[in-house]
Amino acid sequence: MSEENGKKESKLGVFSRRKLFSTVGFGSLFLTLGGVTTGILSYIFPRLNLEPSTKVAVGRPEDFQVGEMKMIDSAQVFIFYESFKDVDGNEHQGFQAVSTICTHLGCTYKPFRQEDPKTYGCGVYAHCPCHGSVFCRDGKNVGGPAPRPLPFFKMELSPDGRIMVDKGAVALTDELSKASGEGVAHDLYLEPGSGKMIAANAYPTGEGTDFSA
Amino acid sequence: MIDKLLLLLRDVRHSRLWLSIFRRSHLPRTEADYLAMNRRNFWVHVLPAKINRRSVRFSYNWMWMGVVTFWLFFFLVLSGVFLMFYYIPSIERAFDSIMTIVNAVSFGRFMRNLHKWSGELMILAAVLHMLAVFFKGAYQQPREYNWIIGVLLFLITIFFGFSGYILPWDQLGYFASAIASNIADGTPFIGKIVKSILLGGSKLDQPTLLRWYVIHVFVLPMSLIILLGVHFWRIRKDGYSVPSSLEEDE
Repeated sequence: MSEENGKKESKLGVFSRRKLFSTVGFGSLFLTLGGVTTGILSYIFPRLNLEPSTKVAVGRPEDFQVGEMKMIDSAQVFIFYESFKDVDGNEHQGFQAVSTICTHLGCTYKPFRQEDPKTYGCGVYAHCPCHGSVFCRDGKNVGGPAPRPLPFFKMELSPDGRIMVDKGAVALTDELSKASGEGVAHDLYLEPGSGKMIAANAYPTGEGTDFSA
Repeated sequence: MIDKLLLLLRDVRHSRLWLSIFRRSHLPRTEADYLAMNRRNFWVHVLPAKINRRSVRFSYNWMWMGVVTFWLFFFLVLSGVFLMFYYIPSIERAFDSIMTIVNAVSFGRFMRNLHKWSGELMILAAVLHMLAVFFKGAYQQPREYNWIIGVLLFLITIFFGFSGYILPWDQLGYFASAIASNIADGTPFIGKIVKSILLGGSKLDQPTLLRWYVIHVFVLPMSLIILLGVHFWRIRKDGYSVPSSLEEDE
């Protein structure tokens, strides 16, 4: 009777001693191999990021003149210093930081230029040499394969008076910055006097800026 | 004089050293000897013992494009080793080291151009080889497995071309790697991981160049050589394809 029971149990899949040992043995072998492989794979991901901070100093306000566009290579931004009107219509001077990286596949586009406004509906635009994307001065993607507008970055004055561009900051408020998916509102300017970001009454058009340099 | 030399040669051929390298005492005489030679010697064994004369015709083979691809790879390895003596995978010095190869090294310009043109022609030859196999229907049973291996080899060849394109770290190479990493970024689910593997960080920098260099001079050659071994082995096992008009007689 008991023998019969034993046979029945083994048919139902109860582990024999041999099967238990082989399962545990091979299981632990494969677990070990998996652990070792994962360990080796993690070798290609560096654990320490030695890259510079996303907050970059681009100079002092007195390094710039009103109506100037300057490319800061190390920060990969264009800095604009221009006059604008705030929502109450008062005249101010302020800075804007625009990413120099095309939103299509990451090439550096050519500097903004005064061009025929009929072509893309804006008087000032930049052209990417890789696949022909076109961006207006307000960051809008108007031509070529670029899927998003150019991101504009948050700016602030450091305590010692340098202009800091914070490329990690995200403050999506207006239509263009929401579409760009990163950066800050496209109508914000850093006013060097107060050190605050002030909203203009319109998107920048590039008017009053010298693009001949 | 001559007969003494011949005697000496015979002695050498029967010496212990010679026989320890070439394990036979005489040249093949009978058909059985030839078959034995074919079986024992690796370099002879790579080739089939017999083959249909129609399948080695120049027109049927499309000018032996598979063989041409292999020899181009051979020259790529050779010239690549020459370049490796001078090339420095550093973002400051990569382009200068290539200028050194071109301007200050004997045969440097020749080696660089040999490497570049062999690389481009290897892709062309591989495409023609694949087209030939495709239009002959030689990818069909029993050669499906080898066709898949061939496709993998072709992908490796493309990656070879691309990683080599990046190494000079000039305008073309820099933006090519920028575009490549952003295309990889667009892959669903694994894109971010692949991008960080290729960049070695979050943006194009020294680790990126070093990674592409290691991929170009170690990872890809090793995978290509291993798969090439399998490819040749399968050609030997599956036999050469014959024109379809002859297939009934087979």
